[in-house]
Amino acid sequence: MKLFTRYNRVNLALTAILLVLSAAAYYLVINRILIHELDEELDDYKQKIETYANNTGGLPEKGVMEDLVVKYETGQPSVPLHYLTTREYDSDEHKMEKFRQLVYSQKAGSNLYRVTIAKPLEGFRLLAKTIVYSTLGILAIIILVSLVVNHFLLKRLWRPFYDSIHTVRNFRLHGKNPPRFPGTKIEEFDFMNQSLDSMLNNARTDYHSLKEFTENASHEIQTPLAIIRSRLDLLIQEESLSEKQGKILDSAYAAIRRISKLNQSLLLLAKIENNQFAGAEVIDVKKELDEKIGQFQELWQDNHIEITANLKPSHITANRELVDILLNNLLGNAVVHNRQDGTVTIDLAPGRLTIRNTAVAGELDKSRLFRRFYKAEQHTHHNGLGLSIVKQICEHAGIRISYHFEKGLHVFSLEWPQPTST
Amino acid sequence: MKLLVIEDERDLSESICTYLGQEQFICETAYDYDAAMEKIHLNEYACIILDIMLPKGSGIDLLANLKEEGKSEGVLIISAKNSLEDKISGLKLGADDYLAKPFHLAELGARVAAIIRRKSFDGKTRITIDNLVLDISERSLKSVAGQVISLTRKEYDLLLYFISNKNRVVTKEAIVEHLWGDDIDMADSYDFVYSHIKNLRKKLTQAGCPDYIKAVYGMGYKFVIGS
Repeated sequence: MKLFTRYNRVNLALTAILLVLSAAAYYLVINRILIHELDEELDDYKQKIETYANNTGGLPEKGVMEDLVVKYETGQPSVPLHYLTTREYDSDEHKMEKFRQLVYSQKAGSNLYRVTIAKPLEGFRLLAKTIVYSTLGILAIIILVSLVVNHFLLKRLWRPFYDSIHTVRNFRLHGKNPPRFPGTKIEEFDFMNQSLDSMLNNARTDYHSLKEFTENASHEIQTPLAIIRSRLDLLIQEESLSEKQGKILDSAYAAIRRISKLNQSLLLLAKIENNQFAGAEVIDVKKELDEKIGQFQELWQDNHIEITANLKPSHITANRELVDILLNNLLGNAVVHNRQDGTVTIDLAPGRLTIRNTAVAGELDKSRLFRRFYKAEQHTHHNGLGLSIVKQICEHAGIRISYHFEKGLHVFSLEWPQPTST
Repeated sequence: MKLLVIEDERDLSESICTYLGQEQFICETAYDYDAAMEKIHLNEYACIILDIMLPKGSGIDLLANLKEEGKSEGVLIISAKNSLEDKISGLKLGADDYLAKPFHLAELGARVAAIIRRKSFDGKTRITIDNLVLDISERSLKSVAGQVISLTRKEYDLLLYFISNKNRVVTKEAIVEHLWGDDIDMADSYDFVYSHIKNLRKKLTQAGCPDYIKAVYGMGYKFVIGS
C-alpha cells in the first residue's frame, strides 16, 4: 500500500466521522432554534387568546389562524403552562405528523378552559434531509478531489523520491561514475538524497580500497613467486646439474605452480565476489564447449577416458571470461576425478548443461561440496577451490547448479534462463 | 638487438637479463620511473619489457608517454596486477602484449621474440635457422633444401617456442602452459607433452635434420642449435 493511500484512508475515515458529527450538531442546533421560534409563535397566539378572553369573556373562533390547531376543553384541572412535542393525526394530510403544542389554562368568563395550541413541525423533515444530503455530497466531493490530487499532484510531488530509488537501483559499486542525485525543493527528499549520496560514496570508497588491497596482496605474493620461478629457470640452464638435482628442482617447480594457482584462485574468487566481472554478452555455449573438448582431448586420451558429447545449440548471457573458467573447471574436474578407462558424458540443451563422469569413490558430500578447500580425496595437486569458483560463477551469472550421484556417476547439472534474442 | 627491462625488483630484472642475454639480446635495465623515462628518450630499443607498478610512477603513464612521442618500440607489459582493466588499458595504449607474473622465462622469451618479429621483420616473414626455414605468416616449415615438413598446429607452435628459446632448457610445465594455456587445470603429470615432442622430433629427423631436441634431467627439453 502506498504511503499516501494509507494516509488517505485514515484521513477520509476521520473526515467522514467529523462530517457526521458536525451534521448531527447542526441538526440539533438548528432544531433548537426552530423550536424556539415556533414556541414564540405559539406564545403570540396565546397572548391573542388571553386578550380576547379578557375583553370579551369568551374564546376566539377556532381555525382563524392558517395551520394552527386550537382546542378548548372544559372541566379539566388547571395545568401550568408548558410546551411539548407530540405526534398526532393530521386530517388534512392523512398521516401522522409531529406537532409542537402549547398547553395552558385560560379563564374566560366563569369557565376554566384548557387551551391547546398546536403547530405541525413540517419543516423539520426537510431540514434533516437537507443536512444528510449535503453531508454526503461534501464527502463525495472530498473523496473525488483527493483521488484527483493523488493522481496528478502527488505523482509529481513524489517524483524526486522515485528518481532517487531509480538511481540507487542502477548503482553499481564497480561502475565508473559516482551516483548522481538531483537537487529537490523538498527538505525531506534533499535529506534522503544527501544520506544516500554519502552512503553510496562511502561504499564506493570502501570497495575501491578493498579492490586495491586485493591487487596489492596479489602483487606482494606474485612478485616473490616470479623471482623464485625466474631464478629456477636460470638454475636449470646450468650445464653441470645432476639428474638428482634436476628432480629436486622439478618438485620445487611443482610447489611454485601450486602456490601460484592457489593465489590465482583466491584472487579470482575475490574478484567475482567483488563483482569485478562486469559486461555480459550472449555466448554460444555449444561453440565454447566444442573448443574446450578439443583442448581437453589430449588429456582424455592420456587417461583413456571415453567422452560422449551430445551438444544441441544453446546460448547464455554471461561474462565470457567467467564462462570459460566455468567450463574449464567442470570439464577439468570430470577428467581429474575420474578413474582409468572411465567415461565423461556431456549433454547440452537450451538452458541446460549436464556433465556426468564415472566416480573414483562414492557420492560427494553435498553440503560441503561447494565450500572452499573441500577435498573428497586428498589429491595433493588440487587446492579444493575449483568447485567454489564454479559455484561463485554460477551465482554471478544466474545459473542454477546442482549435484547428484547416480549409478556410480557424479552428475553436475546447470540450468539457466535462455536469452530472449539469440 | 637491445632490450630495455623496466622492473623494480632487481632479482627479477637480473634473471630476465641473464636469460635473454644468453641469446642475441643486449639488455639494459631501469629500476624506476625516472630512470626508465630517461633511457627511453635517449635510446632506441627492439623491445621494452615494462612492469606496471614502479617506484615514482606507473608503467601505464610511461607507456602513454612513449606512444605520445611516436616511438615505435614494441612493449611487453609484465605485471603482477593481474587485473583485466590494466590489461585492457595497457593494450589500448598500444602495448603489444601482456604477461602476468609469475611467468616462465621461456614464455617471456617467446613473447619478446614474437614482438620483435612483428615489429622488425615487416614484410619479411621467414626465419632461417640451421636446416630449417619457418614461414611465420603461412605457419609452415621447410627444410633448407626446400622440402616441406608438414606439422600440426601444436607441433608448429611447439617448434616456434623452442626456436624462440633455443639453446636453453625449457620445462615441460612451461611448454604445457604455452600450448594449452594456464587456465586448464592439468592432470598431475605433464607426460602427455612427450608425445608431441616425439612426433615433432620424428618429423624433423625424417626430413634430414639433426636431432635438435634434447631431453634434460626428465624435467624439460633443450632445442640445441650449434652456432
